[in-house]
Amino acid sequence: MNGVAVAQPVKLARDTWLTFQYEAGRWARNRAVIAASLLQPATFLLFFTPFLKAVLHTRTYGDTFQIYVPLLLCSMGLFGGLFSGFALLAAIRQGVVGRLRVTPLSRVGLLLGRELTFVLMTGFQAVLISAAGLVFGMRVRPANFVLALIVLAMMVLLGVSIAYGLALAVPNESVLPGLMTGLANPLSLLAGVLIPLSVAPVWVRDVALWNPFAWAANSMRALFQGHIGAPVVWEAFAILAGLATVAVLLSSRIFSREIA
Amino acid sequence: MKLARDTWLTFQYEAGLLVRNPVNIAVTLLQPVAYLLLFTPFLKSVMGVSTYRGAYQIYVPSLLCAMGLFSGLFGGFALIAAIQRGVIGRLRVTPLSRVGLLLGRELVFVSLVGFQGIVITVIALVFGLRVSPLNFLLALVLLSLMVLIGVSISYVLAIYVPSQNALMNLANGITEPLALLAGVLIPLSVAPLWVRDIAVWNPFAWAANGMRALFQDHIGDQVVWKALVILGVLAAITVVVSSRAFSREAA
Repeated sequence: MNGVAVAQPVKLARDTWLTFQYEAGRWARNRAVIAASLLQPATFLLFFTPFLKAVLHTRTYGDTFQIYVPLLLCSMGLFGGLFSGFALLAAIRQGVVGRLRVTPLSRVGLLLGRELTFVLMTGFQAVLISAAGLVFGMRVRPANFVLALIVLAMMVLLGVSIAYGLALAVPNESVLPGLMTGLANPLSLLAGVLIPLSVAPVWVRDVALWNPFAWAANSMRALFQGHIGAPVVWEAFAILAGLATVAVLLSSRIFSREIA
Repeated sequence: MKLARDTWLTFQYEAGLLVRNPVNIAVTLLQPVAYLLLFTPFLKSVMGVSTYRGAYQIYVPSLLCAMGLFSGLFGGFALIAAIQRGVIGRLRVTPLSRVGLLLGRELVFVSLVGFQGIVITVIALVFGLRVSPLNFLLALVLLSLMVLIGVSISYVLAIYVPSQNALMNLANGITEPLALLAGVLIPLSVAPLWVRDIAVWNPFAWAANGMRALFQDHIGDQVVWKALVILGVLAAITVVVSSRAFSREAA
């Protein structure tokens, strides 16, 4: 039989790809949602950077965007990832997940495809926001930008996995927003997504050491400033890759069990 | 007289619904508390203030401002939900005045944000904030006016754009620039000149500056009475406009 002949990893990759295509297609067709998702980052890019320029005493707007764009990408990755649980709950409630369950798609592929759609969405937004930064005088090397996008992708994977795990553990639309707000706000503030951690008091930086998203923010800032060789870059890569792998595995376990 | 009683009846009913759900109120405090505790240290560093007391005197009024702005301008969702569930329809067949029905609902938002403002200020007091009671009361008045303006605008939008998705984007698109250009994260006083020139046209920036002056004990500062006048007039206008729109639509 064909299904048996196809090796397990190949089937998983194909099922992930099929789910990804389906979900990404739905997203790409909804131009209004895409535009709306850019509203908030664009507003912060335009109206928060001048304030940051003033308090950080940077010389030019280009220099300020160099500091702020990676932070903005970071907060987009954090919130985009951690608030994705609602979409999963909605899909379960609407019966979308149930209808896909009766197909021979693997459960893990179903989950990974959905998670990768969020990576794509955030990556797309990040490219547009960075392009706007370039217009305003920011400069970043293509290689560094690609590495920053990889860090962002791992952040989103980590965030979506946590959000999916929580959404399946607490499938309650009135509790979940509070839970996510209570989690995402401290994590993002302690990653220095508004004002960089480098100028924060020592106690804040000590606490932030335990926040993987702070490592992501610091490494992305280093990459945007051209310090590709800074230790924080590979340290963040190692930390986020390890955590993202664990989180994806855990969330697939929970998903397979809950949706079985 | 009848209007006052009808407003009070609606207020009692709506406030009662809210009070019976303390978990929801606690959840609304999560975000401001996170910002209070975790954003102030950053602000303290970049503003060059030496004590947390100084940092809270700068940031607490900004935070109250942000809370007033967002709670107010997102108030329309509750109205849409109430209309869709038929709550408004059922109250329409009672002899309650339409304007009372609206004002009562708007005042619930004012008291909710007022309560949140007091909780946030009390927490900040524990961490070193000092503010004189009179100044704090005036700041609460400014906050109430902000919420009234925000809710009124939001109600008008909700009446004319009764789609939750469209309203969400509209409210976001209006609130974020208004909040940033009121200096709710980093005060306007340090912003570049062009930002301050734009902010002169943002009534919420006047509120933020007025409240900051009050928290820094400059009660005699011109910005305080100017903010009170600007917001008082705007609140009166927006409340009247929103009652008109509501009476016509819910007639």
